[in-house]
Amino acid sequence: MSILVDRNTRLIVQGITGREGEYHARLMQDYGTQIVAGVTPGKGGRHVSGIPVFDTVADAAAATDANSSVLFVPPRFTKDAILEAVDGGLPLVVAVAEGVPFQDMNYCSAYARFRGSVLIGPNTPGVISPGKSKVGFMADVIYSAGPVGVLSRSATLSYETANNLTRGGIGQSTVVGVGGDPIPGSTFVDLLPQFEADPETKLIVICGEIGGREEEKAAEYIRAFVTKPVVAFIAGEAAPEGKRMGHAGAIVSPGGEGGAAVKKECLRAAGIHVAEKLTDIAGLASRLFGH
Amino acid sequence: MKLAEYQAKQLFQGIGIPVPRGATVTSPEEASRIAAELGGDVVLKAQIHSGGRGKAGGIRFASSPDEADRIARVMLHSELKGEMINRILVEEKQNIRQEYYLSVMLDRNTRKTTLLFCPAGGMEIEEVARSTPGKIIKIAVDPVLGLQDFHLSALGRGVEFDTAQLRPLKALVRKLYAVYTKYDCLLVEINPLIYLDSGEIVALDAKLEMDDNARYRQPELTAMADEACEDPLERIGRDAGFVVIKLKGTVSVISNGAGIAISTLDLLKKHGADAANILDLSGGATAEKVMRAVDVVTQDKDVSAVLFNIFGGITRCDEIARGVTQVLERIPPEISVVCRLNGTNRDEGIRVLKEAGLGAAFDLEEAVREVARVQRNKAEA
Repeated sequence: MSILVDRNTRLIVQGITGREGEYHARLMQDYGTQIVAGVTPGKGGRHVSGIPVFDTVADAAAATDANSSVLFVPPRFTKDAILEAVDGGLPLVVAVAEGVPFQDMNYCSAYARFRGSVLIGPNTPGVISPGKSKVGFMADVIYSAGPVGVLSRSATLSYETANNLTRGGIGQSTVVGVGGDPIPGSTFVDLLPQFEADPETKLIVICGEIGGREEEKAAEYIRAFVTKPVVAFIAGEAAPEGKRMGHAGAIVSPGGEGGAAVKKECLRAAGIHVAEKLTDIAGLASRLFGH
Repeated sequence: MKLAEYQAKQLFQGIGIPVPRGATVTSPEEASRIAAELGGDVVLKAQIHSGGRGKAGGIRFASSPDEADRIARVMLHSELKGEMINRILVEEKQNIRQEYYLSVMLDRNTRKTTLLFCPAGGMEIEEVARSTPGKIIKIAVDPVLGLQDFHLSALGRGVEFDTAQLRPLKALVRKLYAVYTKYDCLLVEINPLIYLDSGEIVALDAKLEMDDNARYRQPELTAMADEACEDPLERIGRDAGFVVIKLKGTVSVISNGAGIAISTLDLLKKHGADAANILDLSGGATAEKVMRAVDVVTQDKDVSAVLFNIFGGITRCDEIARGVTQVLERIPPEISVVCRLNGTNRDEGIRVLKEAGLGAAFDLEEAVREVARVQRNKAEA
């Protein structure tokens, strides 16, 4: 098992005729992901790497048995593309674009929840269940199949973590980039129940960072509902207040909300193992597995 | 990005929110002339972005054009809360009967648009939230639903308003919500919102923060914000196609993602060094992009070392390394360069760098320790 994506994932690639869309559709296929259709308005009827292209998600969904979509479309078209995928009834939608306006995301996130679709992102490399399916653009060589579920706001921190785990001989069930934006489609708390329920996942890693209260909420949730061991890392201890630190969501409010120290304290108080350095995550996981 | 008060008020006015009569000035003569036009009794407001402006002396009253001239003379080109005052808003003094607080903001924690209304106007809302949270009326608006009439029914709660007072307030809240959606705001705030003796309702102050991601569809606000304030280095960075964040230390951190950059800062701090700036190359960087990035960060006079921290996924470490070696001769000799490369093509990247005589490691802590050591040596020398 794993969460969100696996061998049964039948994927639509929105924006498949674009440079990024075409390139990553091929890489995803090479990894073993089943891509059943592409969508680009006005380009229906073509084929890209053997994948049939449709004008709309509705056409693609009607002609195939698609159950998920990944969006390789620029930020300014992301809202429309998400809404089209959700409206088309797809249960999983992954939006990778960085720079989507906040109000667009706020609307999309609410609409996806209203319609019961799981929206991942934006501002994420995507989701990978190693050895089964990759939906996104991460470099897949650093992952290996195994018992650790990873949730990360940062792409690069999830790469480092997966790489260190793999090199330490510990594989991953699923690695999910929840994204670096302030209004993600799915938060840690939205996804933790899936890892808790997944029999393959034996340990959960959370890579958090400054900004917002998602780590605090995750700590509360874990204390009450999660029985599996959890390792967490928080980036941004040295960040000054009031500055957006690269990610749109990584900002400590004037007054201190969203600061790293508070997050770590909440996580520790909930019995979560907090790694002081990014490179300590794999070691902590290894110790918890009794290696 | 935040607008100045006078700019926010221009937008408010455009959408029909009443604001006091007034104009911005950049000289004492102008201040005196505007004060005369407004009848003499005026308030002079320093146009800076920091909060707590009133308490710091940035809001002063004058009862004649001469007095306005005198106050403007002192205020202009002086520093307030770390910002230079280049512009003053001169407004007609208002006869305030009652003050309120009103804002519309994007609440990331509830993923809803939140309206706050509070009868304790003029105070910091955080302070009210701490001392008398019961006074704040909070209305959460589902973004799919948008603002509906029923949302506004809560406004009457806790305020002794009759229908005649409530009607203009509801109309004003609708307009403020319209500003919020039209201009892609993260926050619009009126504090205080005032009722005049005449019964009219006026936005005495105005605060507006816009979403940077919406710059492409908000050209008017983008132009306003650029003229208002922006760090010059961050601007140079954006013009070159990068997100650059200016900080207060001496090390420039170039990395291929925000998360990795932030954790580099943390590690630098643990080893006693601070970043002057961070620059995000983002995914798939080429040698050319690396050279462009170096040209940006070396314009920061605070920089005495550049630390590359790259975890290659799509980004190839050897490509980064080639960029670094090609740009090396353009980096002033007093700026030291240390690289940490890991991930795709790491060994090839490190080999290329070592051949060029550069410090290179795949262990982050080793690279950070090296930079911190170099910085310490420079400080001692």
